[in-house]
Amino acid sequence: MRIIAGVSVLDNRVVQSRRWSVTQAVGTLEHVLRALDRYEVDEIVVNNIRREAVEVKTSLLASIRAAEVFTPLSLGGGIRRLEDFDHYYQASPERVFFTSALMNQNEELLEYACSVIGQQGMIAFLPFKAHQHGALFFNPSINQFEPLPPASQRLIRTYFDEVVFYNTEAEGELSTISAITSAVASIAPYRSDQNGFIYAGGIRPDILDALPQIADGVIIENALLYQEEPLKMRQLTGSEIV
Amino acid sequence: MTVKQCSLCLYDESHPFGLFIDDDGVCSGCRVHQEKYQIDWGARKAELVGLLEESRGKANGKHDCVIYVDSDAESFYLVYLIKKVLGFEPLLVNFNDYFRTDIGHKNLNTLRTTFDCDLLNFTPKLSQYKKIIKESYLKTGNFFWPIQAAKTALPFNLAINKAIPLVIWGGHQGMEQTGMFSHHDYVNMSQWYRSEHDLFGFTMDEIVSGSSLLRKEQMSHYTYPDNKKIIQSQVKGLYLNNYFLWDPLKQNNQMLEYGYTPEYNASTFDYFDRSGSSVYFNVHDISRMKRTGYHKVRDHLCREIRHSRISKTEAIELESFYNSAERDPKPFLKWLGFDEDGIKWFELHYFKGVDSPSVSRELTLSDKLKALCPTPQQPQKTFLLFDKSLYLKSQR
Repeated sequence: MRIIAGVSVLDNRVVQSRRWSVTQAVGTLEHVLRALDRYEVDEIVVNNIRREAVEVKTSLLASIRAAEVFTPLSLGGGIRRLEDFDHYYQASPERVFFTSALMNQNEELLEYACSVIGQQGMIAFLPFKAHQHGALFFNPSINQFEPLPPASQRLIRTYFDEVVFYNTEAEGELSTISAITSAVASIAPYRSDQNGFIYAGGIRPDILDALPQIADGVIIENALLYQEEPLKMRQLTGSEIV
Repeated sequence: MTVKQCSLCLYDESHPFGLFIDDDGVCSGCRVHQEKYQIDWGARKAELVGLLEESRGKANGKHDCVIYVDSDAESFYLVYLIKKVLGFEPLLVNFNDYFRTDIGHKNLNTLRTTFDCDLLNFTPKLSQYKKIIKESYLKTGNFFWPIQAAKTALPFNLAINKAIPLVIWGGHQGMEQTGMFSHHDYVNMSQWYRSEHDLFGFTMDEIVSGSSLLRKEQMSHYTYPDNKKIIQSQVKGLYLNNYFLWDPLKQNNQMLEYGYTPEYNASTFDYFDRSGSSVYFNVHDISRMKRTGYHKVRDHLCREIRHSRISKTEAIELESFYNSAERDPKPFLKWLGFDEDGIKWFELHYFKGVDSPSVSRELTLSDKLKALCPTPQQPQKTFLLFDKSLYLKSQR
């Protein structure tokens, strides 16, 4: 199971978000990326929360370049037009993720992005919350949760490699193993065997050892910065180090 | 773009740590402070005792944890908590920054003798130390880089070398000031925090680059252990504000009973915090104003507002009062080797515009604050390289 670091960025500051609400400023993107690179996570997902301003995206890209990280980087947040995608693509991310384009079935954008970066570089990023009839998914362009549009399943299969299911209600919290497995079960109807599956929400480094193989990868949101956790080192040397 | 200020305290969004202000106009620092009144501190204390017991089981048998100490009252409080309250044996370590006053030396030595602890004192070679201080000052605008680097690296390296699994720190500045982390995060010391916040984002390479006088290989006492050493040793750095309701002025005041001597400085009412330094509330406070737009007293005032000992209105008045205090950079610049012309250049170009207008009002502290601020002593000697090493109780 891949260990992915999730980083939320607001106005070039890395912020902590809890239950889908920004609460704390943590540090600068450049330094946080360098730290996560040192911790040897498998991948870093950088989510730009301030979706609209182009100058913010420019400073974000400058920070990414300055950090000079070697860890594969996924980038997204606010890609609603072809030029938004082009802008992010300048940072040479391994992968780019989309939410609004999928929720609003902007097939022109998805087709274009897929033709440029390739399907292996396309991630569907689906923030969700549990609902009595399954789950509701966040649509950033209307700032609301809504049912997943029926056409989205076809778009995911056609254009995307992996899907991130991001549990907004557990974001930034410390979930139990049973809460995580139950949340994973609640999104089972929305998953497809054709796409890789990444789960996020409430996962902290200290439960990784006990966490069963629930997905192809898990995202740890900012929590890697709470503790000294050189993850790769731990995986290589085993948790019982003398 | 206007900078939003917290509706409760004096901090605004330009705080160097980063600060988030919510829809109600309250900053993340004030929000995280409010958590203090909802936490079961008895349970937290028991958690810490568990961790210390575990550490004692794995340690070398003589010391249960490592604590970095200085000449300020927080050092007294940390040792008091670990040794007197919880009954564990710390190994103390200190970095001689050459800036100590006579009161600073007295406090450090009183701490050692009162609590009867082993103390390792590291004194860097003065010639090299002055060079790195100068490089740090010229490159970062802050000469504290080497001091911060050493005080964060020494205890960790010592803990690893002596196989002691815990390093104990006091309050986490990022949490206490801006609410960078919640108490529920149990944040530990990390390379990232040290690098980005303790060391202002500058690396050793950046400090020594371009200097023919400094060699990185000679700087091991400023260097934090690498990932491999940390993970193999399993040493952790814990912050005590995750385990005790952190109220520095109140807890530091209790240390008077253990022989702590409060030291006067004109820049704040808090004679406990960072005391014993010839530079902290002088040239360092000027540099802080230049870099961040405010003096250290703002941190003290925000803390006191949050602990309900002063109102925001009183804090604004007190800040303008203390901002106008004279902070003299000359002794530091002379110590560093600048001649009169150099000092004039610095004053003209570097410190220009940092001075605040003088305030002629009388100082009035609220009764709640006054009760915790004792009459301080004036230091007689500054920039002391060494002082006599033992203060017996009868000599206080």
